[in-house]
Amino acid sequence: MTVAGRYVGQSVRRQEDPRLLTGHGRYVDDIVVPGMLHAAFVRSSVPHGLLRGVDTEAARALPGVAAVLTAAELHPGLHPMWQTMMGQDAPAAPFRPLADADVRYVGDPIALVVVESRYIAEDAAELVVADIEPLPPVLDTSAALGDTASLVHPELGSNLAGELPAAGSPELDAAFASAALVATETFHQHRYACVPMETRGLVAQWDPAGEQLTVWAATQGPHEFRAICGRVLGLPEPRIRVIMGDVGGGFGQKMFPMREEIAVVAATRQLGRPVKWIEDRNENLLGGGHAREEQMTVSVAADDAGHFTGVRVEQLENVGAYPFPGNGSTAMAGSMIFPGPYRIPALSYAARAVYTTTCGRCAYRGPWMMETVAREQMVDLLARRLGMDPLELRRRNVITAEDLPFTTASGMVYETVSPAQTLEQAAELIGYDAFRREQAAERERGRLLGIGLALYIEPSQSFGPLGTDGATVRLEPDGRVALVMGTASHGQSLETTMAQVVAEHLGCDLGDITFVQGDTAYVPYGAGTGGSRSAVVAAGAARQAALALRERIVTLAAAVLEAAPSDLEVASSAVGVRGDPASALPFAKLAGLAYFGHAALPEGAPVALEVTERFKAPPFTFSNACHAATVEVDATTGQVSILRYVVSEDCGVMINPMVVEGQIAGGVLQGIGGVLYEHMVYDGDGNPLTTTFLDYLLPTAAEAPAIEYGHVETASRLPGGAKGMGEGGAIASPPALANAINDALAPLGIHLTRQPMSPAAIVAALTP
Amino acid sequence: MFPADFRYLRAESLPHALDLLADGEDVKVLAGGQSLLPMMKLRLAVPEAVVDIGGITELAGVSPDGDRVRIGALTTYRALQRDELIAARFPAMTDALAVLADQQVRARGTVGGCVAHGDPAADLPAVLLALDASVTVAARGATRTVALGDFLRGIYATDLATGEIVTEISVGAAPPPGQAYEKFEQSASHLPLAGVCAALSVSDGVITSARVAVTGVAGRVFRSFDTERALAGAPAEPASLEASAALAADGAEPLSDQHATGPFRQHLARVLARRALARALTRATGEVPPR
Amino acid sequence: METQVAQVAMTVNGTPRRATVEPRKTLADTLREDFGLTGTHLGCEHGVCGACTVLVDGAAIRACLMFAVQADGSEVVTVEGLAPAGGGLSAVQRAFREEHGLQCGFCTPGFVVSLTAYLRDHPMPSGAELRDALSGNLCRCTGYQGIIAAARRAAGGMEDQ
Repeated sequence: MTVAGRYVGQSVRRQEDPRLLTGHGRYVDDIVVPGMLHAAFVRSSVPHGLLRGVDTEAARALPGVAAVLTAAELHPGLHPMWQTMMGQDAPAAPFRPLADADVRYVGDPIALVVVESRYIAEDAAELVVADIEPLPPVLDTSAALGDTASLVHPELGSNLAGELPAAGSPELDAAFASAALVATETFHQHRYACVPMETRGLVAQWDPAGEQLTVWAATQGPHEFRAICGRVLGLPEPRIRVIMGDVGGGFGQKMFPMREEIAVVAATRQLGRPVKWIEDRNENLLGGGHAREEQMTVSVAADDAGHFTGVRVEQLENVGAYPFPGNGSTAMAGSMIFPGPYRIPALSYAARAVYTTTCGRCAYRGPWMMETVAREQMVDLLARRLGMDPLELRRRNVITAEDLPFTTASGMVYETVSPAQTLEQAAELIGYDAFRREQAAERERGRLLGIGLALYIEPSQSFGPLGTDGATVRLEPDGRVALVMGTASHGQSLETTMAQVVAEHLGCDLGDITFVQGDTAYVPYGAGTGGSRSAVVAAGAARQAALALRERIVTLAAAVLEAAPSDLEVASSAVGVRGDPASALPFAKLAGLAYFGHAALPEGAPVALEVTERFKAPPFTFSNACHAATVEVDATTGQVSILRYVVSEDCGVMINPMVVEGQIAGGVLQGIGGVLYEHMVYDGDGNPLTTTFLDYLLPTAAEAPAIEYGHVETASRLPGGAKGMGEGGAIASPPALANAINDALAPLGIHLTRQPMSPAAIVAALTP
Repeated sequence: MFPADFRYLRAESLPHALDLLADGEDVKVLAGGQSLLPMMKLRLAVPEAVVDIGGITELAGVSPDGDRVRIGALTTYRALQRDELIAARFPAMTDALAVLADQQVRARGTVGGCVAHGDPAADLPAVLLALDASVTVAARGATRTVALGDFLRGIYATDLATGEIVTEISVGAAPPPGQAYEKFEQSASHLPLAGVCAALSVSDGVITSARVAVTGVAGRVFRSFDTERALAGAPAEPASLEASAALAADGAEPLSDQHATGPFRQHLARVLARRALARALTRATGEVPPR
Repeated sequence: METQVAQVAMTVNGTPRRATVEPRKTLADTLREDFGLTGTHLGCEHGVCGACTVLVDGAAIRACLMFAVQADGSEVVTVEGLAPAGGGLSAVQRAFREEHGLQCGFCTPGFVVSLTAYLRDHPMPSGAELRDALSGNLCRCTGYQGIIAAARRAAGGMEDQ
């Protein structure tokens, strides 16, 4: 256990809260620019079809309508689009902001209406008539790969969006040949979505004279937004200023600007007037990006003691029509992470991603999480076949402290993970053995109680463009501190936690720090908030910059005090000779000397009290956790009641435990929502059925179980010892809950392998 | 998500409202707006004009009137929930009001609006139907009263004609004390996948009459006559309930959608009927059944 | 059809306000656009998420499901009107901060208004009652853990006010 510092390790209350609690946050819909027009999209009501014509005449005639833009008007002059993380040559769906010649899902934007008011924009959009000749929809991923399938993207010649071929090995073949038991099962995950409470949106303004673009955006990464605007419009990046204010959640959906945002930016330049687009909830559910729909077949070879000897995985992903980023496949990450917390000597992982005429996939908290969803359900299934308790089977296979450093079959190297400890801690916290006794007794009385576990290892992703972040720490003339970062905090509390890191290492008071982010004109380059990377990469930059500034301040103070720097100490925004409090020079005094009184300073004393540092992180830093849930299933109605929910987490040195627990909680409920309530449904003709909150059901406070936490704190090898953890809650909760439900249903001989596990699905399974 | 343009007409009185309504072709009545506004915003309802009756205070409130209790059409769920007469005599209504929608909807949504909307998955109509409610409807120069069972016709379809306004719902002032409402609720929307209200009269250990109404299951809220017949004259004990509850969804043409198949809704209706009947019987006899 | 406009007058956070609006303009949009009170947020615009919850004549209602013309003559309180006049936070707002009841903050104004209204009418609620009282508001960040804890804290501390 690490000893908490003055700030790091403390549950400091958040700096962002007072403005957000009093209605003084500033979200993108709060931005008003003089002369601003409002955009609305005309969207396809047909899943697949040829666009014979778009009649915009009636819409153009409506008073207040500035423009109605179709692909023919909007696309000329636009350049190719690609995401930095994916690279220029990555497989991807064709890029087109608006539908051109054909439509490829219900919701496909056909035209952009730009109008004086939001209300009239919607009136005008209704007046646009698209003449569409229907084509067969492409919905089933297996059928989509058949020879006779209609093509979602005819220009690609195939519906296969991506493929990861199986890489077998003699060791793997041998493991299966000699296994005491081989278990194979296919697990299905259904389509659900990020659903941030704030939808997507932006205000874009083009300055034709200076050829400069300004965009206020609801984004998780202003620099990536800028890069993509630069690529598409052919503009130098410094000519583009992307500003994010407060952002109402993203969960992956706002990592990259998608087609609509790019269309609005292009329209702004074309029209020379500011344009605002605020997506409505209907659009957000229809076309804002979906996630998760996929299936995974897992074969496990085990010896007679239940030790895993080899695993074969096959994944089939439905990536919709226009996935973001790239081709929407998560297989590469899944194949690296699959072994997770277990000793799996040999592995093969094959995957295919398939385009369909549905809304494209977007990133969603733990996009690759099917590896954990399938793996953890497979462990329980194997345990059942072996007649062994799932806890015992996990104990026999989990990576222990003695195994470290451990290299997985996929080549990941773990140095500081603690899956065995979190397994034991979660089992202890939930009272695993006592529950088993209670469960047995209650089963006698007809109650269906169940317990489920799920372990996982979560990577902080800091490879390639995600690998560095920058921070500027500046001592201002009044002795207060400006912390300027390339982060894009939108609920992750970085305004507080980054300030904690700086205050700790600079030696100033937390209240002296003002945090600035989200304006590409002023902040260091940042890869955005996502991939559970901020505690690793951004905090690394904040720490490094704070230490560098501290050194300068100490050097300055040493010159003034005529003392050796090594004799000085920094505390509470002052520097003094150790053991002589009277000597302490407040930061304000030192700043005054540096900025204004420098003539009196000795030669060589530093006057630049501003430091910008970039921190370079290793490609992966791993945190880990174990989730444990107990449930009761009402066999009559199929209703699942979560009795207890425990998370034992090791994310290294916690900067702010309160924030860590908040991140866990949010992720857990998203996973619970996915298993029990949320389902983005298409009918057999490709029409979406769940495009309001009356049909797409989110959990409320009434459905949320109390979540209990345990912490194991194993420092990472990074300076500061942190590990990322933002996504894990959403990754492990679906299998933990599914395992608990299946454990409850076990006496009835039922094992569900499909989500959602809705009351209807459970009763259907119970009905012979 | 914005409504299409419309003419807004504020009614100062009921006659005024009826005049405004009679003058227009495509006019919608706006009370609390909790059902109408979403329909207008999704442009499923695009009226030329809207008559706002929200300010007609005489249409709000609960009052005893001989052997009936009159509930003004503009009485909000919240007002109903706070009404002492309702709390004292209509425990099934109290059950439903506690699980109906949420705090915000209860503050604006009205009983008359709910009934006039004809939503096949609304909570309160099941209770009102089990309590033998009647609906008073006014048009210019005429007023009529219809049994709720005849008023509800189908999915968002009622007996309400052009130019008419629901002014009042009334229920018997001495309802059977054995009444209860049970629902199976969906998250967030709070809508019942199924809901059942049971009202039982018990005398000398025998169920003398029973009314059972089901919501969420079929195209309209309906009474389960089979269940009612099976209960009438049966001994007032739990054993009587099981077989009769099993009939609760017989004959219903069930709704089927992405949330639940028709058979699942029927299944829930049977389960909820059993639960509602059990609780109603407990309330009728004052006995607590063994768990 | 000639677009009709209407004059509306209401008291908002204690101040008389007037606006000229189309009948179809919601109270939420009027508060945000005509009165500059952007703390009232729109998360779904069809009456589920509760982010737009404000007090109208004391009752917590969804401002996206009310036309501004319907609020003519009403007393409206938005999230901006809850904190004490001299600055700082209300008891409910303080409880949210203490218990980490918010992350991105977008749903927060609706929760704060809903809870403020509920606790005014129900000073000693049970945990289940609090969960039900908050079930008209959606949050996607917190898993409701901090929100429920904040509600408990605020309920416990209401009498201190």
